[in-house]
Amino acid sequence: MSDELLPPAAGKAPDSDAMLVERTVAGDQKAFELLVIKYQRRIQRLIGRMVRDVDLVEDIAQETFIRAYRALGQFRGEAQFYTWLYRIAVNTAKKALMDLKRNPTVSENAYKTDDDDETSRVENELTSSETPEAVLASKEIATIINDAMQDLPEELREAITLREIEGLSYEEISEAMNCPIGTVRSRIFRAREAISAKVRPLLENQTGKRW
Amino acid sequence: MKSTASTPELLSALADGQLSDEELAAVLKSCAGDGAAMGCWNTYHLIGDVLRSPAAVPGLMPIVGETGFASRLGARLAQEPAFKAMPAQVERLQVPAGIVHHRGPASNDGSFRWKVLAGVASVAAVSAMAWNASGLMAPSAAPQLAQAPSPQILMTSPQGPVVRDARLEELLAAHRQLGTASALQESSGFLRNAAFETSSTAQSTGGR
Repeated sequence: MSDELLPPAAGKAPDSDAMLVERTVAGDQKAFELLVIKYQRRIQRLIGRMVRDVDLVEDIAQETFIRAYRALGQFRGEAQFYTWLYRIAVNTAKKALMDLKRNPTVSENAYKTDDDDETSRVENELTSSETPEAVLASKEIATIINDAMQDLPEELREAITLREIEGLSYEEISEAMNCPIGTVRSRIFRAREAISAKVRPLLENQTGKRW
Repeated sequence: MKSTASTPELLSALADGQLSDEELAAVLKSCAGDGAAMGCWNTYHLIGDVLRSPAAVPGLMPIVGETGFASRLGARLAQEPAFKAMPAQVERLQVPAGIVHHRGPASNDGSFRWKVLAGVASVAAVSAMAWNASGLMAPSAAPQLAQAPSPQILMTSPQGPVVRDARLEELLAAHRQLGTASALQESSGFLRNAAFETSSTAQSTGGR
């Protein structure tokens, strides 16, 4: 199995990205910040596969989001927002690599000449920003989340599984579970909160910051 | 419809694309400056990432928590000019309470305009062709002009008497001065050539 962070399974669920893009273009910058938080992991990881320098990964990721923000007015929604963002990230990273090649003062260790495509990377190889400590912490977090999932009451576990893994819409879940849509929404929220309660202390210890 | 749900519950629904426009506006407003709300949003997506990729633990990295990335980017975004809400967008956002917009733009919205344009062009082309066809069938002034009687004169030639159009004769007489008639019967005043004309030929053409 690929180690790529997978998007929700293809289902008929409405697209929250489209709503946030619409709000951003309407002048609400906070909506774009929510998109940034949602996708920063995937974008940084994607860039980390192309660029060796940890600091450069963040710089390119920041530039990616800034470029996306500036170009958002031209985003027509014909593609998924992440697909569009992905292309911007790849192009931004490639441009940064070209600039590095032109600049002789920068060490060649900063870029990977043989690996500028995410598909060419060996699975499970660590990216530039994945130190052994970070991977260990990541494993710990994954274990806690999966254990918390198993501890959920049956109806909460079923609801969040249908949503996050199967990608069903609330309407489809309400039919599957034979309950009102409002109940589906409540169950999914309670499931997320129950899992969050267990994982949050670890996140806070890791970053030394409370949200 | 005024939502009584908490901000985390609204964020949870937003993560699933299940918020009305009114709820979305409310949650974005409450998120402003609320680090806890942003933390909830981040954790909800982290949970989703883990559940969808249970065997892909390294995929969670480099960020599992807040590293300041979003806040640093937020500072840069603050320098960017904000989008100006266009009237149509504002109008759409101010829908009556309780109405949920989930309809995205149709994939063929762009081509629909071209379809309308092509339809109008087709109708115009057919109309033009019909107009021309009716013009061909109806009697018009053009044939009448062509059939107008022209003055004719009787001329003699070595081959015998010839009936010729008087206007054509005037035209030839006016242009004969530019050159002599060659064996090819073409005006060739720019050429230095020799021509031989008998008196009878000169007489038949009206003389010089």
